[in-house]
Amino acid sequence: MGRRNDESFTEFVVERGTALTRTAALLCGARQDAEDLLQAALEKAYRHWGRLDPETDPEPYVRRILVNLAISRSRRWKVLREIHMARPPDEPVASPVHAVELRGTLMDELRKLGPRQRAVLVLRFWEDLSEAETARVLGCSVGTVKSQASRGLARLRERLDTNMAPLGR
Amino acid sequence: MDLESELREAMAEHTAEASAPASLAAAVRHRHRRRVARIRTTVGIAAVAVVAIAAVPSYRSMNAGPVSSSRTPTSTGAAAVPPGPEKPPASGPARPPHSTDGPGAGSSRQPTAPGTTPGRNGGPLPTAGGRPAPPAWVTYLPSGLSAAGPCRTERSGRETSTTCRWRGASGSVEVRVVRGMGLDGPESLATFPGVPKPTTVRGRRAVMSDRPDSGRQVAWLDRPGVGVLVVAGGAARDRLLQIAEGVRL
Repeated sequence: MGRRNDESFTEFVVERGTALTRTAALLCGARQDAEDLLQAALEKAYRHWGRLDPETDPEPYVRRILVNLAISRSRRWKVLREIHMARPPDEPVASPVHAVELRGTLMDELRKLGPRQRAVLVLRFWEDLSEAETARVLGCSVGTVKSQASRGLARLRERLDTNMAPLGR
Repeated sequence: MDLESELREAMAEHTAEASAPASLAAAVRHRHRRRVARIRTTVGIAAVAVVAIAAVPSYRSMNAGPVSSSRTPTSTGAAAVPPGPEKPPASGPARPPHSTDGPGAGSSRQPTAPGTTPGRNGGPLPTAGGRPAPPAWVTYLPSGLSAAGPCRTERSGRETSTTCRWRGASGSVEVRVVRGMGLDGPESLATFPGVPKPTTVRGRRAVMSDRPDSGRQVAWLDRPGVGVLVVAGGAARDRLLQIAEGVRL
């Protein structure tokens, strides 16, 4: 059984780069952050690329790194924001343009969720992973995935209702 | 409203334009190389720092080692010392090598000329002005003194003596170190007119007396076979014991 080489890494990135970029964008919210996050995740995977089993798909491994990085970065930035801001940031006022666009509002509300809850929703509804697969990626139990997904969706629904109510939806 | 479906649609819409740059793999490799270089640099700097921290005491001990052994008297040590003007006096083997460089307890080194450094081998080093600095084993001298010349080593019978002299505005100081098997007490190092006053120099029995030339002298055996005589005149006379305490062989 051979080892993964540099060439196979390039092939993987060319093949799965866009899908991973999209996942990264959903996990962290901003396009620029997504590229940096993906590069960092791929660099981590690249360090151990030669040791990965050539018979298995490396994507779950890379995705797991990506999700863990997104969660840890989000926590770090949250701490930094709390340190830098003398007073809590103003609550963003929902603009009428966003309010009428359900999907745009959904994405805004998705960004406001906690990093772990957001990761669960992205993995479940964007990557279409099963609850067991999501639990494996996040390193938690299936029960945790179920509860996080349920709470995340409930929060989205609640916020969506609040935002859409003035518009009669 | 099916929230899950809407969420899927929203995500697809949000990421529709996102695509991986063509140079993503190259950027990752570049990032990896930068990381490796950064780690190597950090490790290199840390290694250099560790080596430097470890090397300084080693270098000092290696540098001081031969000096200590050159000062250690052997059974034929006295005869083996070739006559020379700048030979250091004998030193005790039990004394750590660096003790010859550091000032004694409560005393401070006051070089005769600014900018001079003592020779690590105990011999005086020429200063910028051509004047020799005090040898390393003389750790205290009153200010205002400068060397009258290089230390002289003389051999007489079974004894070897090294004499260093300083003169200046604050008087004069002479330190003589005598090595020889015939030394049986501080009294044998010089003539003590009148009744010598017993005292101690760094815990060793010493004798002190005034001299007819208005100077004062103190002598003691630093260890068996090695005696020291310090003579001070003028204002330095009042610092005689301090000077004596500063003689670290």
